[in-house]
Amino acid sequence: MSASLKSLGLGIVAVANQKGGVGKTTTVIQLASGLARGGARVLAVDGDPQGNLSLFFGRAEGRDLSDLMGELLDGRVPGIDGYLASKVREGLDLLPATHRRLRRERSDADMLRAAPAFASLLAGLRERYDWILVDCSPSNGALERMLVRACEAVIVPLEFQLFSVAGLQSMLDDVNACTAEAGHGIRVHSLVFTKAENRVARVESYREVFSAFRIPIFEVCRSEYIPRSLERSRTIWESGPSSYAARDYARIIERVFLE
Amino acid sequence: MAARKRNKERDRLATSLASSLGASLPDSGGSYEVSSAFVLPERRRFLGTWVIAEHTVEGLPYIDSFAASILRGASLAEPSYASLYDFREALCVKRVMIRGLVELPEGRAEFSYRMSAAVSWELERGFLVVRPELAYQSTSLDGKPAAVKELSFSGEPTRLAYRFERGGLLLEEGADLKFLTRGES
Repeated sequence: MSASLKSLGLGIVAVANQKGGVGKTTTVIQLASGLARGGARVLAVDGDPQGNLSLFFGRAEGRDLSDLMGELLDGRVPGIDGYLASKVREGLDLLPATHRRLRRERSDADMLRAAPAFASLLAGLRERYDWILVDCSPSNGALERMLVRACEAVIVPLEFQLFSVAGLQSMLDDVNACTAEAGHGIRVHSLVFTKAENRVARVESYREVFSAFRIPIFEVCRSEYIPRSLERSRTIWESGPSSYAARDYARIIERVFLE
Repeated sequence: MAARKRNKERDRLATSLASSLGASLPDSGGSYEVSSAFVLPERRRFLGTWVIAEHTVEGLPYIDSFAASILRGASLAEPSYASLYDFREALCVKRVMIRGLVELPEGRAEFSYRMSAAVSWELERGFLVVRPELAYQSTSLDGKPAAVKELSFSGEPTRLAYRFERGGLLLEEGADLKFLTRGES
């Protein structure tokens, strides 16, 4: 059996895959809110300039990650509270992304320059939060490198699809590169196949191949509860706590984080 | 037709890509867990009869370790080994039969060993967990019963890692590896 993040002492976790539409934001929503419901103190970081995580939690305006980076680039160490949306759920705070133009506002060089200060800032928040979950955007640019470098572990959501699996290799290469840049280990802890279906020949082939790997791999079944709950800004724990998808996420929380 | 061919090719490519990931993914002792929505279908995959196609212990044929333990090191010439697993909803019945020629001080004798066991089984976190309910074994020499005994258990379940591959079922318990294929009861 593999060790959980808790037993490894790893608390800053990126949810990342450069492929879009694989369920990164959904996974962060369910894991962060699920951990908070269990009594943990959780910070969710919206690292995607699309800001979907922030929209979900009702934060479309206000100071955000881009502003925070500005302060860091100016050499200031800002107090984090002015940037947070506090208690978006009980026990859960959010560092939002409300500037959709973040990539235009901040150059790649800026982001890489801000990376060490950003990593220090998140590391400093570990005393305040049991878990920091970072929702990365579907790319492998400087922003994502800055985010992953600040993390201690990575969870990779993916789909049973050619492009998604092809992207995984690049993702693993990127994490290795980030590890070298960060100067500390960044562990690819587990994979999560989202939107899992059964009785599909393609899925069976993937299962057979991935079953041979000795890394925690989970499935979250395709569920009508998820799109419906996202539409209403409700987590799976609020809209379908007894659904199979909720059970799947609960199992990930237990095995990956808490055991 | 062309679309189906393209899909097949795409799936083949994806599977091949996935296979090559093995070297890049860390080995942290984790396993694959299917969605809770599909646990029942997963359990259903076990149902029916399976027969041993390959069985090794620490890379050596099982029959060698059998001879070392049951025959206390005596060699078994011309061995034959058959084992069958019949998975039902609640129980799995396992049958083992081993035959061969064994050298005794009084000369060569035909040896046979049979073991039958009924075990309850569950799937848990990517493992097949079995609890023996009842089992006995018997041996005979030249067709005459040599020993019959009911096996006792510690009460602890046995956890076997499993995966479906190559059209069969691989069971792994430490250095003991069994590859089962579908058989007839």
